[in-house]
Amino acid sequence: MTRYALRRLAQSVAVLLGVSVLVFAIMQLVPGDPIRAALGQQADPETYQALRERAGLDDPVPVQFVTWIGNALTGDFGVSFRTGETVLSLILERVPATLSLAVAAIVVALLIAIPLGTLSALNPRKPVDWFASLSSQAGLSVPDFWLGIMLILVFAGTLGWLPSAGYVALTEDPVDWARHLILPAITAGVSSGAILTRFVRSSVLESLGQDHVRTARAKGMRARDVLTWHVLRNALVPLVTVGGVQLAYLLSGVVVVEYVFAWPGLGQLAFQAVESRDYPVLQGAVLLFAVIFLLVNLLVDLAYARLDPRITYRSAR
Amino acid sequence: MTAPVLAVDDLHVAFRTRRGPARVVNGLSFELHPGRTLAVVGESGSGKSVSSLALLGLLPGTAQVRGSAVFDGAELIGRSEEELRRVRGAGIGMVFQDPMTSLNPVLTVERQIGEALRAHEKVSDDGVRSRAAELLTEVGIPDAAARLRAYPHQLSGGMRQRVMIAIALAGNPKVLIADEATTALDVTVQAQILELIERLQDEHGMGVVWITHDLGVVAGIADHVVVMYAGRCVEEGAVDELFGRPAHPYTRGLLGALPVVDDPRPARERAELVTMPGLPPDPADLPPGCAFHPRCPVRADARCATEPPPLAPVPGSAAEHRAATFYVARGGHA
Repeated sequence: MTRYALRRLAQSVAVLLGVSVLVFAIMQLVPGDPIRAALGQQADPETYQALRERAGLDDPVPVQFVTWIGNALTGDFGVSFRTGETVLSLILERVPATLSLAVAAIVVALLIAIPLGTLSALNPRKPVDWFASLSSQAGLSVPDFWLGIMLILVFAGTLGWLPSAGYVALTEDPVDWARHLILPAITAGVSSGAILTRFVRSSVLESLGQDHVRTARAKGMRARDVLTWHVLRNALVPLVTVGGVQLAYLLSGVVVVEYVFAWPGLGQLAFQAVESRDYPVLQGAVLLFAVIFLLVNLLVDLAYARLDPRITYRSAR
Repeated sequence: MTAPVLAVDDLHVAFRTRRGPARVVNGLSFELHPGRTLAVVGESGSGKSVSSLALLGLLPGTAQVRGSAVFDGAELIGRSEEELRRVRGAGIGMVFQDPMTSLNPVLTVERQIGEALRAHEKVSDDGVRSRAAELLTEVGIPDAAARLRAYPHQLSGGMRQRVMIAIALAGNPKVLIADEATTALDVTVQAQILELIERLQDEHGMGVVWITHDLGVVAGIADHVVVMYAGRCVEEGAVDELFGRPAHPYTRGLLGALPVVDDPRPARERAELVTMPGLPPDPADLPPGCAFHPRCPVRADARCATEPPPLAPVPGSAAEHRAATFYVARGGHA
């Protein structure tokens, strides 16, 4: 298990290096002068030149890359062209908001997907199944921003139960944090839930047809135990993979949802960085998203190996 | 003779399909006595496995089961799920074909045997462990305590099938149904598993239903044989009777397709293996009359294509040797 984890970690580092080259290259290829964009057209040439030099934009590209990656390794992603704050502090500031939203959204998604997907797999071609596939279709088709606005209209506007937008830190006021979180979490969770529902359905259906499920029933186990320990337990293994991808996607910021709910997350940060050609922030954010994906995937693989003993066994041989 | 522990009478199983009902079992009857071995023989798709699953209510919801199956004095067909659950494992144990897929790959051996123990009585964790270790020892697995922690993929095929048998024995059943239990195994391992089940049968006095397409296995272990074709019994009898004087053309075809290993004649003088042309009929589109008649090499009677022949005693044989063919009824014997 340890050897397996170390090997997967080494793979992740290699991928990350590749991603950093790509991130750097893309930034070089994007048209537009970031210093000009930051200073505006009226800036005097001396300030302009000084800023360019400070940002190292006049160095040869390979030198820029080595400098950048060297700094990045020590946690220095540079300084925002726009605000002058360090990229690291800008990103760290946004992490709690994004983490809250992503975790809450994946919980919403799983709360929708597992019961609905299981029910529909247990009753194929019955009304429950139709309802599930219809609502999963609807969940996928409804645009995030529309769902968000509708939820705000109903729960914040008409009923007045929940705040319409904004974020309150968990450390500040847990109850208010939760109240602000509910609507964005539902909005972001519904589409993931819709994707996962279909996945759970097919995974459970496949699991149901396995020979070992028949063995479990032939033992005289209660239907509920067979479902939990032989159907769902085994369906969980592939679900972890897809769930992990969804979580990574939510962690790298759901731009539209964050926008609708004025949620100060990473998606919004990246979006603003694109708008203002704030290269250092954008590079930092993209690199962070890559790290998130790799990390979640690593965790998924480790969870996978725990859930299915055959996997470590194969790699150990 | 003692009362049968399992008596199946006129069992019918049909599956709803888009093309109409697929009639997979069509009036199967047999009796199993305690301590005896009944072999159910037939090609793939002849309804052998479906019949056994039907007894325990293990078929999917699209199956319609009719007829009667009396186990230990109580009717099984039409019983509630909970009543059937109590029979599964505790009254009738089952061993399936492929021990790799029939065991759950992500649960330990201890857990899977433990489930069978806990399904019918309350057992403590320690109780489960010691009972599971006993069962493994009983089915001939050395170093049982270590094997309990193993996952199925860490065991050999023969070992896995022994675990399956341990699971089937956990509820102390009166009847063991072995559904192609040796088909997926190497020949040497097959022999070991056959011996194991025979030994366990002696020790526990279980009745064993052995479902197989392997006539070699049947000859070695069965007391009584039921030959199935298209979901019905076409011939049954004591194993010596049936192998010695097969009456139904289908049984003869099966036996003709079996190589004789200890034939003393040189290879070129031996009788050629006879293969049976054609395939078993589609259960959604059974032919009228005798289901075997389109493939039958004899077809000696005009009724073959119009009415199904009844299962009747074979003239000149012991009373329990019966065959469903008009050919025999006319006294013809090749």
